[in-house]
Amino acid sequence: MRSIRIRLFAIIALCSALAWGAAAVWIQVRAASEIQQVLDRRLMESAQMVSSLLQAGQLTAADAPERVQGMAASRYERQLSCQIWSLRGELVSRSDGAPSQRLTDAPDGFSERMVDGERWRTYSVSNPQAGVQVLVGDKLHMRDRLVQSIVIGLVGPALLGLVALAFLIWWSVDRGLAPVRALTGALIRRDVDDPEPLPTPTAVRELEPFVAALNSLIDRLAAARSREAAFTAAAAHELRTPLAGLRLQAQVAASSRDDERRRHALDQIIASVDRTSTLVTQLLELARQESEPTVQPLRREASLEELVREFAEDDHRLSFTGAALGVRLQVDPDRIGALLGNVLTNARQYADAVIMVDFDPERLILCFEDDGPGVPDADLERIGQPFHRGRQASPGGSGLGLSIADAAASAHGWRLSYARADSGGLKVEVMVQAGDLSRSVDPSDPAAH
Amino acid sequence: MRLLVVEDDPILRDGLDAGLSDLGWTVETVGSVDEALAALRSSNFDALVLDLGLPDGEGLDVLRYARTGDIDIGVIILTARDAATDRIDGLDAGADDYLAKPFNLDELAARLRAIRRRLLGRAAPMLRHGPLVMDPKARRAWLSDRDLILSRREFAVLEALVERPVQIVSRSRIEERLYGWQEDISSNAVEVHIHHLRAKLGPDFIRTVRGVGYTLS
Repeated sequence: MRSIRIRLFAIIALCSALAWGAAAVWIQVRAASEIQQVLDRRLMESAQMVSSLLQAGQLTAADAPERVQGMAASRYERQLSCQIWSLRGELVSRSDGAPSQRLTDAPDGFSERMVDGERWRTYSVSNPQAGVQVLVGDKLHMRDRLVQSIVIGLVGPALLGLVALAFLIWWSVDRGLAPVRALTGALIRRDVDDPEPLPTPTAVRELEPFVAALNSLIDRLAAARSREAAFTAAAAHELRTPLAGLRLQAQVAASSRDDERRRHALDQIIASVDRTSTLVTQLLELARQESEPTVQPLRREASLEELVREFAEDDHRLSFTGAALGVRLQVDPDRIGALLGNVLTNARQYADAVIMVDFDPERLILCFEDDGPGVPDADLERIGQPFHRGRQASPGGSGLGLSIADAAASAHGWRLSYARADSGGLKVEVMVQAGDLSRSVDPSDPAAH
Repeated sequence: MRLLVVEDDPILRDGLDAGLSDLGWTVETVGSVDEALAALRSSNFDALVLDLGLPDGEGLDVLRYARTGDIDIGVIILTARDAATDRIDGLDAGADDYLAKPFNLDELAARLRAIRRRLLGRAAPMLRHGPLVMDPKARRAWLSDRDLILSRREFAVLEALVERPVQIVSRSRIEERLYGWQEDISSNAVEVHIHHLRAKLGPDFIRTVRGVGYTLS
């Protein structure tokens, strides 16, 4: 059942019906036994009354059965039958409708017997003074009909009540779900760009965790959206500025009468086209690294040293610690180039004499340290952001290299972070997945290799 | 007119330098907020061409500095951003105008001339003083409807005087307008230009106020 309303309604209705049904059964059982008792007492009282009237001579045996019926107050009591038998076993008299066959042969008291295909319950009392036995009985199916009519009288309205209850339950469930409906409406009417969280506290406490989860999603969406907007604005800035330079230099080249100046402008145009095409290539690379978030199944196993030497073009400033030399990695060849290539290009740009490559086996961190000017602490968090350039930035940099490295690391399930090196330079830390460390060499043993 | 160009992109900066110098203006270029502030503190400029995103801060900081002091300087912002808020913030912070990148050099020059006119409180594009008429755009001048042949620097000196006809313009102010930081100036360069101008305009057109500077009669 996919509707909460129907589910709730079904559960509540079923429970109510069960409770109601149990009550009805209980009422029926109780009513039946009460009625049996009342009717038994009636039989007994009638028989004893007739017997005592006969004994006092106030009634003749022939009249007695009529008397019993005459005092009947209800339709049911008119169904009572009375027989008066002599103690010798002759039928003295009987009421209308009473069978001529003896209702019971049992001694005084209650007994049941089949007479003319009907089951009778009879109370008999012997009166030796009057020389008769008085038998008063009724048909059991009459009793059952009475019980039935009483139970129907009780259960019938209850069934109607059940139908009314069903409507009430439906209405209550509907009312109860109104806050959910209101929330749905608010979500449907919501503007896609609306960064405002849904109002809290909500009308009902039960929706609070749901709304909190939604609000956290809205927050993350808004953050992603604003990051995207910032990126687009930055990209527009980064592309328009070289375009402005190109246009200006072209205008100078076209209008200048000075040959030297014209040649210089043309050189600048070539340099600008080269830089802009590098920027476009890097933008596309960043988009590619970000849009294909899964690592290709095609893996390559290589030692860290091999990889670093490859992507740093065997820079003579490279230096490996013992721990780093022991590391072998499972890498996605496509990602590792974007990651190590950009991190090492950056390090090589700023390193003075040493680019230190280290590995921390406890935190599973690859570490690349240069002894360059470093990055002010305030900028450490921002250097991974697209187009962020430090104050000492080289003019050729696009400000995208570390962003690409970051995206490639994320796609690899790794994490990139930045810190200040002891030498004052920049330290790039790459936290790798334990599963990507090759098992062939124990990475925690610096003596390996 | 002496301009300070603040732009961090080296090729665009170089292009602005070349293009605006070709129009006869004296151009100084810097690439950061710090350098821009230092330049504004140390000498006088008639106009500022300002990029907003600089490596060590926001171009608006330079603009705010230029507007807090009593500097009479026209400011045009170059922006590569789409957001109207950037342009609004720039104008509200005191910029006279803005231009979106990429832009046309001629349009930048025209806007700079317009800013200059507004700053000096005139609407007509031509400068006039008595029988003298100057066209800053075409860099031509006429005296009593006769063409006046002036060198680039002579034109600049005369323009400086005609822009503020009742003021006395100091020699150092004129020197600043004529020469960039890298250029060597002989100590009597301005006197030489004034001498040539007097030969073309008549001896009484420019008056020397001894120890202060020059003004028009």
